[in-house]
Amino acid sequence: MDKKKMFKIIDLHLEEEAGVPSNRELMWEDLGEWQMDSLKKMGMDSKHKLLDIGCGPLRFGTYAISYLDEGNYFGVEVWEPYLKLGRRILEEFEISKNYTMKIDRGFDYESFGEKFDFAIAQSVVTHMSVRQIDELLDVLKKVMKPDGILLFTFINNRFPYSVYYEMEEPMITPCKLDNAFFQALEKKYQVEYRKYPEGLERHPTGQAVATIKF
Amino acid sequence: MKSINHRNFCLNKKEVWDVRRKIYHSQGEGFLLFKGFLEKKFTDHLVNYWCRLLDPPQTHLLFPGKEHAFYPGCPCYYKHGRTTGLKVFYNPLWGNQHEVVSNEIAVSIIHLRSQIEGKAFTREISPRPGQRCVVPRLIITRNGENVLAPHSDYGLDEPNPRNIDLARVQATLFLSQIDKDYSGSGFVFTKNNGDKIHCERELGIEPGDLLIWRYNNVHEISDISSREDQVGFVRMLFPPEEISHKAGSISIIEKTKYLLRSMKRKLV
Repeated sequence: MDKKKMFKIIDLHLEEEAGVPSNRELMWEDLGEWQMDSLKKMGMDSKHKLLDIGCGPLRFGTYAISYLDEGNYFGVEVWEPYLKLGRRILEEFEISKNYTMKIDRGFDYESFGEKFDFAIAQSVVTHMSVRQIDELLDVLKKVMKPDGILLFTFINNRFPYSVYYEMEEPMITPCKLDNAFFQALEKKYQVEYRKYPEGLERHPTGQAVATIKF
Repeated sequence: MKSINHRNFCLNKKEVWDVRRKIYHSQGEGFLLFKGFLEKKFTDHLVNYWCRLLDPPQTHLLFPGKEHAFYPGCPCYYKHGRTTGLKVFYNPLWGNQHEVVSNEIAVSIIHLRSQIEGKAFTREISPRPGQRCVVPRLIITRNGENVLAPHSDYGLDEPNPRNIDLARVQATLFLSQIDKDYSGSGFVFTKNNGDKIHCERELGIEPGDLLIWRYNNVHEISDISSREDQVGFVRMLFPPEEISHKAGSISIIEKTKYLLRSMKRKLV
């Protein structure tokens, strides 16, 4: 991304009181391109419906909304300032396609009234408790189409540690997200878990990558 | 904005965003001056202690160079340029037990800065090897040219991408007054629009004022001069330093033990 664009995105974050300069801007293209490339390799095409969990200010949205057919992008986010910021970022990228984004703290994905072919959770499981990961799968089981795929990134920490997001939101990162943990979920929800699916590039930040097929 | 000083340094949400826009937004100045951050009795105290009373060898070790100087439990250091009269005191919060007032003031400034950067205050006040920790620094510049060459920190041109951090801000606590205690360029800062500002003169900075400025903007001190009867350019800075495993002075036995412990951790 050219510097001018990057600093414009930083300005928008400040104007919407959404965040100070961070890795978001520095890794904008690396992450967006990796996400797009990975979902395409998993079989996503423009006709599919995508749920972007923890969609932020539509960083990946700028890629996915452009690529998908009108209205096929659905984003959920917990940080409220991102809702308006997302709209302004799309304007900045001159993207005018329809999309849906909402602020959600309670996994209310059924309210979209849609069934999804793909879901993505980039650096989201990294901020969830073990109970929340379980809840996430519970609700995805209801909203994903049969054979629908969730692509997600995570870190297998040895112990939980906390994050004080923007000095506003206390969060606890989970630990011991090992094979046994995901195999238990696999059994509970009758899904198919796969760590490091074949053909995907390494994640730009070095996080572990996995898929769950519903 | 209400008066912010070393006793009252918590910003409310509106103030935080006002400050952030002034510092980070491309239309902002890139800096913010907190006038009267310290009362006169505190600036007098600091100048008196550091410039007049202290005999550094009694409390500080000679600075061994940045690499491996800072580690958990490390002492305070000093640097003394015999020809220029430059004095630099590196005062880790855990090492500076002899001048607690400086510690208290430093903590208030580090806290104020963390609110602006949106980073947890406790993240960089205790030393963890491999990470950064703020080591407050008191500097007395008496005479010199090209005192601080024009440069930026944590910007996009950092050779190591790990060091890029566009949210970083630095704070300068001014403890002496230009054209009274020293003369010369003073602190020269490049604003977000690229214009240079000679801070002390253009902003009317007085002892006790705190300047918070964007770390990745170019900054410099081209020249300073002071007479025998002047105290010089005295200020405090709060750089986050890399913390090592005391590897600079570690013995071969300790190093081997450390490597074995690391290998064991990996294997287990």
